[in-house]
Amino acid sequence: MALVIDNLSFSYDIEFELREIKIQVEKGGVVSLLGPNGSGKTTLLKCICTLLKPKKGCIFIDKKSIFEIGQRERAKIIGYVPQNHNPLFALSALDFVLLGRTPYTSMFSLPSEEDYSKAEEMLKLVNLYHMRDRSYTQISGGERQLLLIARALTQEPEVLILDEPTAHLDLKNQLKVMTIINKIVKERKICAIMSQHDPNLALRFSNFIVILAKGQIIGAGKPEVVINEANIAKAYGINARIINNNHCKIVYPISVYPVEVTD
Amino acid sequence: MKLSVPKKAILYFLYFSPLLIVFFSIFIGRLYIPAGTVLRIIISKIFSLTPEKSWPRAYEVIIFEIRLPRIIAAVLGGIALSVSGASLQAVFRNPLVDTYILGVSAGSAFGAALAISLLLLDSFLVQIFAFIFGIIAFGTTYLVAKTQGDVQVISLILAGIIVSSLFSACLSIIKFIVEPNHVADIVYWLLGRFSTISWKEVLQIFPPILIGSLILFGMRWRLNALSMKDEEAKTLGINVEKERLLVLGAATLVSASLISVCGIIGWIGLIIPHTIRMLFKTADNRKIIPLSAATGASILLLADNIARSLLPYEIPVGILTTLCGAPFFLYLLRKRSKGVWH
Repeated sequence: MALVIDNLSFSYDIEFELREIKIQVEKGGVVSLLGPNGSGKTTLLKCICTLLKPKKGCIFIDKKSIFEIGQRERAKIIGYVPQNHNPLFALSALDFVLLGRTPYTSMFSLPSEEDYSKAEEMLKLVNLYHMRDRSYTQISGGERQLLLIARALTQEPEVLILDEPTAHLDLKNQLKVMTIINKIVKERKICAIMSQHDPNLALRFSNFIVILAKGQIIGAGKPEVVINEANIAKAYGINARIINNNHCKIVYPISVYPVEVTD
Repeated sequence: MKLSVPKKAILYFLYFSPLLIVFFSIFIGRLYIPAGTVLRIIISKIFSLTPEKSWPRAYEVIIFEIRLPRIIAAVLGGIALSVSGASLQAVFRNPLVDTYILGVSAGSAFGAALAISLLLLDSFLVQIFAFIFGIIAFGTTYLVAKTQGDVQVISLILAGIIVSSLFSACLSIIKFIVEPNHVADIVYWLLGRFSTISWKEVLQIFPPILIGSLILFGMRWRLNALSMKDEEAKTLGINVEKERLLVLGAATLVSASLISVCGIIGWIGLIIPHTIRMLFKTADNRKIIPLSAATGASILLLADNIARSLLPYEIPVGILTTLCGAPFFLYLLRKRSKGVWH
């Protein structure tokens, strides 16, 4: 197992944000976290990045606890893709991706030839090499997301963590980003775990789905199994229909339940 | 980054300009010394020649004891202000910050005023007070901003504003209670000028400005990563608090040293890095830091040349930089191309 989340609980104060989360991800695995706003998806991802410290439980990457290794070493095995953001200063696309080499350079050194070639390789991987001199603020949202992914990959991580990689993207860019993530994970034999709002994208582009609600896992497993009408109703409080279309499932939301469902 | 030919020419000119301006500055001064004589004095000094001297001894004193230390101080000052400004703008992710944001200027001003009001009129004591209070102000800002071991940019900015206004209030109290003739001393100190510089002051500020600037220059690529949000920088493997403290400390060291000998010189730290960013359309601190250092040195030296030779009496250079800096900044804001920062 590449990534093991073992009995993880997290709380800011008394109330638990996450309760006894258990997830295992293999090499080449793409995991989607589904769940309504405030269900703990981002909190869980931040725990994996060690930006938040869990109250109980542990996270292992290749059998090593990620809380027992230094920050710099950790950045070589975990690549984090934050939600699309707008930095104030506009680095060029290449300089931006080059930041992924930070864990490999010391405080007073400059990136080497090797660092440049790694960054260029990743730019080619996300098909943005032709934009390397373009300013970060002058490119589209989809391309920015790809640049953030390229930067994380330049860290040469074993685990890629993505916080809503398709948020604010149009249909074409959603497809593009998800296809590239899947391709890279398979090719580089790493694993990815991401939060996702669109169950249809999760169905199509992941091989494991975890549904969170109020900080607890209410369903986990193969996409075709986990995505069912009961689970969608339980997680989101909506009435949805699952349509089977040529061996491909589609989630079709119908209406909001008048009252919150409890079971 | 690929630059067009004219931009490249500007780049090389900027790197070369301090040498050029330093050279010409030796010829400029209150007392007119013929250019040929100046040249002959310099050449005979460099090669330790002892020809029959056709010039008064006073000329040598003016060139080597008055003009030269002043020129070097202005160069050091330009480097200190623009490099610290550029670095702070990167770590604060804000193109409008300067060392004043950390309370350094207000602290130093209070320190100097305190020394003057306590009748410690020896310039060295005034400088020491200014330096120490500059560092104290920064330390206070940092400690106030630190909550539960975490220092956030927004708390630093707020703490800086609070500490600055506290020290400004204390400065006002001093101005209010001291004898009127000392008020004039304080005001003159606050204005920012190089007229009191001798080799003693130059030697005093040279080590801290060199050390601080070298630290910031060494971290020029790191500053790119430090200009990302804290969480992002952490996931890139950076110990954000520690490295940011190093940047803030180095910036405080260079600016407090400079302020301690020549008062408060505004706008250079804001205008220079900003102009470089706009001119070369870059946010890469590997370019901004060295280019700002060279340009800052040239501009401050140029400003000081004007300050000491334009009118029959000397204008404090701090007034000049503010007088030119503020409208120029306004012009840049109106004209700024989209995307360099927003």
